[in-house]
Amino acid sequence: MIGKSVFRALNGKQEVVKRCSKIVIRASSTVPQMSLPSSSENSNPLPFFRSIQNSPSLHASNNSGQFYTIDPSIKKQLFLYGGIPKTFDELCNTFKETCMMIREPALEIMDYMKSTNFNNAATRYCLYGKIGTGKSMTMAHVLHYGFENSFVIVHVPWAPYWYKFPKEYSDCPTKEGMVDLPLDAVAWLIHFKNQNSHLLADPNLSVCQDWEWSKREITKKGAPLAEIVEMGINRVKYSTNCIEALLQELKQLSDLKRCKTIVVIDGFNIFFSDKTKIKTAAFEKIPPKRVTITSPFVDITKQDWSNGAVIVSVDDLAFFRKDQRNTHYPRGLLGPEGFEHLDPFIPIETKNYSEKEFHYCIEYFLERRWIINPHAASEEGRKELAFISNRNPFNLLKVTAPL
Amino acid sequence: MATTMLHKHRVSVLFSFGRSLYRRINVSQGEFGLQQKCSAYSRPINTLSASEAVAEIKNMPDESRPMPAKKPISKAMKAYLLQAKNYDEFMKKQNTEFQIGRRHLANIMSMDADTMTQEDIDQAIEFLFPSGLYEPRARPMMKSPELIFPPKKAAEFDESGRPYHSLFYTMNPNFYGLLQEAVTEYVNLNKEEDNMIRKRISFNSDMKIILSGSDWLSQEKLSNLLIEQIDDAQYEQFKNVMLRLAEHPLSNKVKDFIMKYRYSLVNEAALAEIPKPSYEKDGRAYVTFKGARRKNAYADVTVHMPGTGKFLINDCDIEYFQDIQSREQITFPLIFTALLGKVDVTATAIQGGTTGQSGAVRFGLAMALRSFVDDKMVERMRLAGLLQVDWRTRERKKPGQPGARRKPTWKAR
Repeated sequence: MIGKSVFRALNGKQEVVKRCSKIVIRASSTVPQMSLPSSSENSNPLPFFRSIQNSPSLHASNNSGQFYTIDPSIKKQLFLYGGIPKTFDELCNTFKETCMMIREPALEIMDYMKSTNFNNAATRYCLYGKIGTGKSMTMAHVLHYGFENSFVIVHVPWAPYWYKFPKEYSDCPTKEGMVDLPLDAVAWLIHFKNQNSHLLADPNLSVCQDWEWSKREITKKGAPLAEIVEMGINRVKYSTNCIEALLQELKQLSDLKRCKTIVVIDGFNIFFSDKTKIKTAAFEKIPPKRVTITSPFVDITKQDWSNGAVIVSVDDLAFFRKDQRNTHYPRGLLGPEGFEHLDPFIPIETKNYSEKEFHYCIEYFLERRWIINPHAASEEGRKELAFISNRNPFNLLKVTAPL
Repeated sequence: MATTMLHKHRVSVLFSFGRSLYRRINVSQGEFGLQQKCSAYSRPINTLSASEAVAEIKNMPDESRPMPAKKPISKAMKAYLLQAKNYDEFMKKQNTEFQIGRRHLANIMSMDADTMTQEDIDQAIEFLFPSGLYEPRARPMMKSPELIFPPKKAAEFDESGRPYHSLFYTMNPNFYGLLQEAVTEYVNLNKEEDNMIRKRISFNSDMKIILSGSDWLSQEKLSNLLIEQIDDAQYEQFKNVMLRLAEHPLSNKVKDFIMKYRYSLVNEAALAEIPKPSYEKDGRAYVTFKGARRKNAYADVTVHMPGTGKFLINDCDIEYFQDIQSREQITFPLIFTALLGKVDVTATAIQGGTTGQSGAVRFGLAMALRSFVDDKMVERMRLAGLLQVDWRTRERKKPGQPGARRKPTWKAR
């Protein structure tokens, strides 16, 4: 543009934001090979934007806006098979640490969970908000909290994957008109096993009733819960049935106070959509409710059990592009059926960064050398970044990527 | 009979050549042409006007009846007078027909013929004779004959056939007159310069004209101004002569003469009208700029001062634009004027796409921000191109080829 070049010439200073490529994440090879200061190695006192508390249970409102570090071993256990957005995961690789901002919605949910009477029916939280405001990140934070407090974790990293990119599907042998996703079910069971590996050895977690898979394969009452999981992983044919049994068992066990369960499902609204990519033998596309893996997860979000918490998120991106509804509110995204199913729930909105959070984030980016351009750190630069990104976390990442 | 023939011939010529009609006058001693455009006939020249000529033609000696001897009239003048008469008759007839047609049209459209304006006529014609022709001038029209047939130029010579202008036989009297004037000015300046040297008065740069910010009139514009066809060589000559005059150390004295043939690069009229802010009940100043455009998009922008940096477009925040480039477009005027975070912007954008809408908002915003910055900044904004409408639009696809310019792939066979 003529205007811009003239402006540069006149002003004698550079504009902060240049055209940003669609590739958000800088390849690690382009990052100057310098040692990033590691928070643990650093003997100096922590900078103000870092939290001293790395345990979500101890996070309070005074930590809001600060970053806390997740231990790599915990990250490996919790998020090995998904759970944190891919863009963020790649960013963590670049930064050589997994640092998450402590934000209001997560603090709110954890606050509620701390004061919940777990004798009552499971409380349901519904996260909603515009794209890129941190629904999945909030879930990851709460998941960490659940992990720390010995909740059994039932976590679906992104439900729409099953319906948009199914690995393999076949007609269900037991239920007519239904379709199985055996490989996806196995993958989920492995994810479950990985996340709860520290709990599955607990003798309290034993099966409450007999489960007959076939004439010869039976899981007896009193067997450890891990047996069902192993069964599903080893016998692909019964994997979906195993999920169904596992979730039913978990509901019962929670009711009996033998464990606490936290259910976290991202992109929950896809369960009430009317479209998937899955086709039957007759080449007709079927709705999610005709996929066998749907019903156990819809069932566990019911209020007929106690000693647990259910956190779901609704997202416009969960739908197929054509069906997207241009709204981010639960009422519009869940539809009448889904809303009726989930009601009553506690709605929790994720919002763009506040002024404070924005500045903390910029400071963090500067420390990690994600932002190198000195103009970006100036007051005018920050103003411009805030205006262009609208302080939206994901947009900010995109805008600052070339800086 | 001969008159009517001539008349008919003239009419047909008028129709066939339209505006670029060349009129020729025969003179007994050979032939020469007044190579001039008809549209130029309105120029006031120190000659007889057409109406005077018509009055005179009534007193013209009838050749069939012998009259007392009078001052002889040249053949050129006679031919001219005859043509002037024919023209007037023709125009009168056309005008009558137009008036009748107008009344008919008013009847058809059930309108009042007396209050019917040209705009109403155009609308009615468009309604009655819908046309898909691309060229607007090729579509059916109904206009006053004065608008369709160009006015006629008065005679440039007297009754004896002697031209008024001394440079008449150069065929471009006005052009060469201009050159002569320029040279005269140059000679005068030289004399003054000599005087100054004699009196030992020093020169300074203020005495020389400053040409920046303006440019010479284009060849076409100069042609129109002088009402003469000017060819490339002549235009080159004009520029050389004028430039030589402008480079004279005392050229500021003939500024008026030089600037008559230059045009300003800045649209001063548009820039001068910076609106004064209005005030809300709470005392905040605001300015609205309406009808900003870019490509097919239109935008109205309101700027409130002081503000906190709020931005609303079509009741949505800046995330209305999903791509970063569009957001940058909008941010640019605010950054440039250092008003980011100090004003509130409310905009409505319609039609067009993302680029168009953001461009329209950018232009509207820049125009509205003029009211809140000083003159120096306005000038800087102008230089940065913020106050310039981007008139470029999509080029239409042409029939017989896949795009606006692209031709089908060439295949040997």
